[in-house]
Amino acid sequence: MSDLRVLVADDDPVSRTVVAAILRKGGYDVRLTGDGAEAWTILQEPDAPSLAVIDWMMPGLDGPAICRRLRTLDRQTPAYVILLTSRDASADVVTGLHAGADDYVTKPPQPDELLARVNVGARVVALQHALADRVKKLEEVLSNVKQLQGLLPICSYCKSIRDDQNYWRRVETYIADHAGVQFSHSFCPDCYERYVKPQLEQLEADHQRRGDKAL
Amino acid sequence: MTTRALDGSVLERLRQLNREGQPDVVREVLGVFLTDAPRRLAAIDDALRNTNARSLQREAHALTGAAASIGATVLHDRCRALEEMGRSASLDGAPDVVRQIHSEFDRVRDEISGLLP
Repeated sequence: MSDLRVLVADDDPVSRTVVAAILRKGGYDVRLTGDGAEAWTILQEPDAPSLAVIDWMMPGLDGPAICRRLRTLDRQTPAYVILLTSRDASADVVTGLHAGADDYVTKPPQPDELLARVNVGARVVALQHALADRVKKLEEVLSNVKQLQGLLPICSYCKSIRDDQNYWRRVETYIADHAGVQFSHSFCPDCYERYVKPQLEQLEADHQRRGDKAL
Repeated sequence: MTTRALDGSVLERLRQLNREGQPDVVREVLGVFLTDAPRRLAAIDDALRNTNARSLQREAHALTGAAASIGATVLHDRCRALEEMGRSASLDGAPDVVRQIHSEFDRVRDEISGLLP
């Protein structure tokens, strides 16, 4: 699944308009806000955009504050955040990345650079979604597989297995219950020769005898 | 020779963001600038009147970003200078810089009017 929705949060309407135009040109669906607190509200929505381009300096909640809050959300696929910083604020960059931002772009952003970085974010998000799906499927499978005991008491002669309630059960019943396995009964060539063939021959012979009698 | 108020290469980059059947990006961005900048200028005037360095820094910073977005190079430099004065709370030269910002904004606005018939 590739999520092409991006939240753009910047209190400067000019910069916001430019960033939106860049992302729309790149094929993204853009949601805009000029307010840090509103950005935080949007990012907590169940169907929130997975990508966000957030201005460092905003009244209310600034970019790093939003990043720090985002990292406290219990989500398997947290939003990928790119911070917009001033050109001269190299110390800011470290603070921003420590706060939990995934990347940063200096203002005013060069269209090609911003798009390239957002595309990287989209790839990371797609990967996270694929992994989360995978984990979910594996967890479903695991919950279906009941645990098999490590050490099974088995009768040396009839091969019955003693279960936790001290009942002796046929091996196929035990495994079907504990591992969700279905058995389809058949016979191997050796057993066919040893058990099945003599029975068939016996039946054949009986049939023959009854036929002879009838005559 | 007077330099242009707007850097043509920045406007050209904005123009390349145009999409078929959608509003012109240059027109949209310059329109937003013309609406927003006067509010920022008024806030800068207020901050200077009240010698509020912090607010001066914040408003100058906002206008710096907007000016850079449209390629208003001189306006951007003047706003940066003012932002720095606000940051260091040394406002001695601020009235001069604010005057320069106003006259440069007028130049930017005139150039934009020429671009947006």
